[in-house]
Amino acid sequence: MNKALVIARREFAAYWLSPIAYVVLGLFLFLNSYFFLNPMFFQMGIATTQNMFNFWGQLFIFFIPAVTMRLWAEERKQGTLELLLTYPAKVPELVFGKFLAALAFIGLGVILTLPAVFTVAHFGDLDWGPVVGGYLGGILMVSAYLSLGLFFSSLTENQIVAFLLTLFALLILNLSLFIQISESGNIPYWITWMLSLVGLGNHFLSLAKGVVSSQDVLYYLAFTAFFLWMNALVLEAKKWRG
Amino acid sequence: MIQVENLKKHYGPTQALAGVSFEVPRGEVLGFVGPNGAGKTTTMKILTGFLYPDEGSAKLGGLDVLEQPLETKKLVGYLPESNPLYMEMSVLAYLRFAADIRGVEGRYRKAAVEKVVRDCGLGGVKGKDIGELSKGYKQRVGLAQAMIHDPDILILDEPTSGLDPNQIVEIRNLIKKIGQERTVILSTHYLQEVEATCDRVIIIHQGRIVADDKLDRLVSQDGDLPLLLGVVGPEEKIRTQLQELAGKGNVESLDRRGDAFFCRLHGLPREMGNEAIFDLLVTRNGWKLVELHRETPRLETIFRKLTGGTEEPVPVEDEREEALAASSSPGEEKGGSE
Repeated sequence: MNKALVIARREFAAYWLSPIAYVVLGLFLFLNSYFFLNPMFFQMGIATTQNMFNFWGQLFIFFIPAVTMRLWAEERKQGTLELLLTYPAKVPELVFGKFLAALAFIGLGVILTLPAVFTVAHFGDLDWGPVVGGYLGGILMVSAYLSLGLFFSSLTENQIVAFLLTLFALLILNLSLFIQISESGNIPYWITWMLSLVGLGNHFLSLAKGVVSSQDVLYYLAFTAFFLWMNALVLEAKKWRG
Repeated sequence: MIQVENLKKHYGPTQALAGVSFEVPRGEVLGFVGPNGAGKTTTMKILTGFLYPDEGSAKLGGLDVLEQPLETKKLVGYLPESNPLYMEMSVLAYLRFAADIRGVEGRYRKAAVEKVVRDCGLGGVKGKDIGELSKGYKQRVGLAQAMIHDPDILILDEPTSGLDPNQIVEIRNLIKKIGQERTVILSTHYLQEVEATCDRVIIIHQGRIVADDKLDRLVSQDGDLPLLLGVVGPEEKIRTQLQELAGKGNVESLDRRGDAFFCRLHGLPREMGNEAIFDLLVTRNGWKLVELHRETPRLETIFRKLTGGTEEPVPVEDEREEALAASSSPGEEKGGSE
């Protein structure tokens, strides 16, 4: 069997051996439904998933660090990284395996939001374009967040440090989301423009409107690949430093 | 099977390996001995591909660990010093994972897992979580994962450290069994372990090899193999007669207990066996011989000589020597005072 899949399978199973997984998943689904089907939604009288997607960018900022913090930090702390690096597998395979496990875990959470969407579609005339765009874009955005979290997890043997570093980095990269929300008028235009350009969540918002641009897709793919590659470099460097 | 040439490794300003070279033929059990920080673990980490050397090369089965890491890693089973395991997994789940990641084909996996469970005596605990197991059983799981792919080479870093005496004996027997068909390198602080399990020993100190030989030769090259004697008879006469026999050697009085006089006879020519002693003392003089025993110099002694003595107390846990010291010379410090 492919080495990355072996790693992914072990790692995915390992999630369910810790209560954190259930808490994270439960909280995610609760908050997601809350933002999706809040009183505003019923007042609007429009069958749309837009307000759910609008919150995803911010919601994942807080959930992804909890999903990735353990992945390398725990291996380093327990010393199991030493065995992992002596298995006949390439470092990128190990990294990709971890990434797949995290993606599967969070992907399960995303799939579990579907019943709410089907409910809406049942009662109203739902435009499926933005829904498909939103879910695909969501997966891409989550991938980018995960790669960042994995990278930070590989830097430390302390899960809390990994969590905080990832959270901090995601907040910085998503500043534009929060500025838009506060609709602050006294920030110069060029700053908000720059922020939205690097803004991790912004690219998702345009995808979630059903506008699939290759620019946004490429942005996420490149971001993910870059940090997975950095992650592999960190592990390779360990072989030199010991 | 293993060829190591001039390995060098720095950790920052500290030199861990200053040019280590050795070879291990197929089927040999090699013991790595040395004080903490001598470079044992570093050498093992390089062989397993966990660490890159600064200089030098290491080959396993003719393949270079740097050039063909995936191939050499397949040849090796590794038990790291801290025996890291996924504590939350069950023994079986963990061994299945180890088999998969080690590239054991799916259809052979069940048999491979069953074999190591049997060989390592894990049958009774295979359903339990690893975290629940005692240290001795965890060590067995560590050994089991190292052997899951039936590797030609096993690298075991301090496989018995931290175990209780019963567990130590069990693990040693296991290693002996494993060593019958595989090439094994094991590191240890317990010199007795080397004596119990290894064909050959390498003593490593400050990143260099200071001794590399078959165990018996390493022990005998120390030269003097003194005889321990207990005789019932007149002390002075015994001393002079033994002195005559030994020629250039000398007689070291140890103790008197009851009627018996105990001494250690140094410098007796090797070819002069126990018979000569018996003839002299019993046949010619009619004294009673209550003890006659050739003392083999302890590996501890050689080890201390080569590694500069007292840097690190070597754990002595040799029952034989303790018993001897207690019975014949209670006042004597064990392990020698060189």
